[in-house]
Amino acid sequence: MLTVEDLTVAFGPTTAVRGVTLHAAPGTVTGILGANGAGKSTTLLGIHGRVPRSSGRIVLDGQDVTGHDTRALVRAGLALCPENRRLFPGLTIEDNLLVGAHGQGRKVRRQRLRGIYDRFGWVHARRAEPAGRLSGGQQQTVAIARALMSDPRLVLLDEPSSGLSPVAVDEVGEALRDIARAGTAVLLVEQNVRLVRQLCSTAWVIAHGEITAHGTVAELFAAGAVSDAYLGKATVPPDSGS
Amino acid sequence: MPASSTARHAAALGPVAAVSVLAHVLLIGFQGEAGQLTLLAVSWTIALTGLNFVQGIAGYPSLAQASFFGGGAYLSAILLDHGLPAALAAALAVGGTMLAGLVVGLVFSRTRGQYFAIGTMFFTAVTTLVFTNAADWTGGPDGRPVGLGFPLDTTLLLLAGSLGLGLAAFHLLAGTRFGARLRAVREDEDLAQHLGVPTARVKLVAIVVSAGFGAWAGVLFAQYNGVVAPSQFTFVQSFLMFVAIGIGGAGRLFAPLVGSVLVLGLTQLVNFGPGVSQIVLGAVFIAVTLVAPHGVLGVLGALWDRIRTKAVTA
Repeated sequence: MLTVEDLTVAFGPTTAVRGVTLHAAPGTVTGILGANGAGKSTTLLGIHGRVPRSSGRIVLDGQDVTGHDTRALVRAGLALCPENRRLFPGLTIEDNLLVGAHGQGRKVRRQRLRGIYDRFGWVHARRAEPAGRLSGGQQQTVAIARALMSDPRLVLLDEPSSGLSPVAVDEVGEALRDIARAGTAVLLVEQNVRLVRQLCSTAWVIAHGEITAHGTVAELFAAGAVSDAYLGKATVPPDSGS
Repeated sequence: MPASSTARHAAALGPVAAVSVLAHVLLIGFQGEAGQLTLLAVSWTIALTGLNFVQGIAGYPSLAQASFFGGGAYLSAILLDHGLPAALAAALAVGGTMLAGLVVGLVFSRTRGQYFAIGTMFFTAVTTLVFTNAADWTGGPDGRPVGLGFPLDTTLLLLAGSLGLGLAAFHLLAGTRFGARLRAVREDEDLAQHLGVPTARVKLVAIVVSAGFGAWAGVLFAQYNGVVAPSQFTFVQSFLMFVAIGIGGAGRLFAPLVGSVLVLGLTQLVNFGPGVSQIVLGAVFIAVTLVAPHGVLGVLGALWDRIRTKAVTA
């Protein structure tokens, strides 16, 4: 179980994320929804220690990991799949996977590799190929598999569907469902509404760096919170005088 | 998997052993100018095997290797002069140079790409000044004699043996998680950080290791050569070492050997008088880089792959 309390990330005078509080439960996919620039990715990076936080508390399974750097967070069970930066293109697929468990001994790495190959048969068949040769969907699947190599309790995913064909999105969605079913918590930042509806049980809606709504995905869609977040409420007066 | 990895090790370590034996034969057989060139090629190969971690696997263009090479040579000569036993002098020279590598790494491993190259170049400029001007220690621009630490036979064995063991160590370390982390740094350092790879520390270790290889090569070079002079360890040498890794095939096991032989051989062959030689050499190096961006070994590897695929499909 991940609990984020009062997370604030500021870049100089600009506050990108303000007082974000959210939870992600094991065995479920939790969504973070919002328009471009709302602060979704920054929230993920803030949780993962990749951008400096001005406030906030991160608790993973009861353990306060707020002060941890990225390396310690990965060891504590927090894995990130960053957006648009999926694999090391010049490394083989197997080497890509091994980097995911770079902190472990040889035996553990081999054991986890076997687990991945059991789950994704085609990855085993193509393990010696340079990762750059894979299609976008395959790369995303390997990126997710690489996150699993660290044996995470929580996987943070930033827009796994971006740039993928509908068929590839379905494959990625299937892989994520499997991961959640196996008991891992998944926190998903996503623009693809269909994928969100398929995968997420609950979601948090972010606008202008703040949480504006939370609930089950069905509730959020019914209440119009999602369309408000993506399309904007009619808050700007029609005639602002300029 | 174990069977294939055993085959992989055998395919790499067999040639390494053969090269090591060949180096010993050549070192014993050649005298005069040819002997000098062989000594340079062998000691450069040892030094460049270290550089191959930083520049080859991690993709960080380091121009500090001649400094480390010179550090080992000068420190061991000075310590021998103070009456230290040869082994201790060598160990302290290597240790001291690795300490210098640690400082270089701590300062410059936070920089990337050309900034790292400029930083390490600056370090070499400083060491060249020290080698040239700290005359009380280094003998100044004319250099200084080196006391005999090891008997000549031992030095030759150490040179050939270190070449083989160095290459073998490179091959084995490249297969560990240290090697995987270095490759991740080369491919995408930001992504590596996202995955929790301690990139600054990994680079630091690589730089210290490269300093160790460079220093040990310098110790042996000084022992065989009998004299050390600043002209052997300047920025030009650092740059040629950097070029040698590129021409050989950055990150490949035998890149240090192929690169050293090609670069040192070319500098001997191209002899049109001062100034002109450097221009011709520069043009040759640029041409090789353009034609074979992955080095000579990259071209040979691609050719071999093509032949093998043809043989399989025919």
